[in-house]
Amino acid sequence: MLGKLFKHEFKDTAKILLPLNLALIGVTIIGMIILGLKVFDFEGVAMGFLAASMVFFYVLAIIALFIVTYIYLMIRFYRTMYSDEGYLTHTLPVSTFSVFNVKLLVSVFWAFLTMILAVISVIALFCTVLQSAGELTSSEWNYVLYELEMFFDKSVPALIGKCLLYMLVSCLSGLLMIYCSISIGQLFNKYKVAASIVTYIIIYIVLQIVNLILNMHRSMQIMTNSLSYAYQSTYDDVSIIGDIFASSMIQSVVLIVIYYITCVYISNKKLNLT
Amino acid sequence: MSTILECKNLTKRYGNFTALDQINISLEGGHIVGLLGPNGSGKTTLIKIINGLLTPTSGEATVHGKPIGVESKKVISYLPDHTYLNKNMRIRDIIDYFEDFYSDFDTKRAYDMLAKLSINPTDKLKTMSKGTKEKVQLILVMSRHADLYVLDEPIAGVDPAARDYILNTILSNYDENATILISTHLIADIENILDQVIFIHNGHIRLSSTVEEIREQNGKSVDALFREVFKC
Repeated sequence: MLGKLFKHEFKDTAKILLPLNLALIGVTIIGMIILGLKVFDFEGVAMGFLAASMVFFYVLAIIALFIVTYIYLMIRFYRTMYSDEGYLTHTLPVSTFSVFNVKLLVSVFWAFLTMILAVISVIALFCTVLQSAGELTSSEWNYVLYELEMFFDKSVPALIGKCLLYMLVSCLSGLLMIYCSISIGQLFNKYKVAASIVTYIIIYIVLQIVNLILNMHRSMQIMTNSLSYAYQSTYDDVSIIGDIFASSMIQSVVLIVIYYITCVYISNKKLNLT
Repeated sequence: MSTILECKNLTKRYGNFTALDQINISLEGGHIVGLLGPNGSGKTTLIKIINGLLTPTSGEATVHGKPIGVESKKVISYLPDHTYLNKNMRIRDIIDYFEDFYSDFDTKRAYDMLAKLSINPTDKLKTMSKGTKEKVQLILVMSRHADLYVLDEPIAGVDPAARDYILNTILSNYDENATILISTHLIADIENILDQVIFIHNGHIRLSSTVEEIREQNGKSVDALFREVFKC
């Protein structure tokens, strides 16, 4: 049954999200060709303006891609779990626990895929620009990688692994925060959508306040370091970055657990389809 | 006949409002039961609890002696009182979906019924009229070989010809050991197919009896008795 749930969830979500991600790949490849082959000569004011416009629309498209993906996943979750289609979802001979897990995993897959593709797209276009300008020779590339390794005191694969882990955790916590708000919102007998939005805003504000308090000490430390004449070495900054990374990971994992338990509890025990 | 559905002291409250109050029902196999009551009497709330879409405030509903859950959903075929399928889906895809999840789904029967009504399986649900949508949903629900069919207002909002089709479909597609629970306030239209009725009002069971007993004891049709009991 779990396999069938995955099959249908992927099939349904792919109708919208697959073309969007393919479009991103297409735009990246076209961008690389244009930049790599120097089809346009970006010299002069007019061409400079054209280049700036293209970069602007590219950035806008990437932002729009994330917004559309998250809004689509959010609406789909609400529609299939707590609205009319919930009548079918919750009368399938499958546990609500499995239904929720499958929805979550498929959503995380798409959000993570979009994030990875967006990062690859930006890096690919950036490297193409540098390469076509003759500023990215293999020795320079090796130098950049070496500097990165030295700065973070980690090998490049370890850095990439850490970034991927961070991206995955942020997708998971971002989606679960939305799903948790929707689940709490459906507990209300009226204005469920409004209640979900208000819940999301409240969670967001509370998190901001908690973050502010938690980070106050660390911010002071960075400021003192920056202002101090006896500025010691980059090591301190790197260790602070490491600290921020570790504490933000711990915070995200704690939040993920809270959101997840709330969602599973509500969908299992407090289902309130009207 | 063994008991298929049993509700014990089932209560559902929404804040201060009590939608169901200490409901006790026991349904055996092989019956067509009318769950009758005016609008807002608690019919849909009861049906939602039976299907696991609402959690009761107290009390318990069981199917074949087991609480509502995965096992009960395997044997209950449910028709909600509104469109509950993704309107962008094609009928063919919805049939695939039902076939994948319900082991008792009879795909051939579904396609046969669609063909009789000249409904194209490649059409999307959103392109269909309200009556056709209701027929498609009923075809899907009645294509299962379930133990309990729960039909919430299956004939509301469709023309008399469609009503006849729906009632015929119900009668000709259910297994004789299965039970059908039909909720409606359009009693005259379905009275002839019922053999048991439950009158529900303000969350209370007002009457639970066989149609034969009603006719013998009261000398009235179910419709006439309903109008008398629920007189405004």
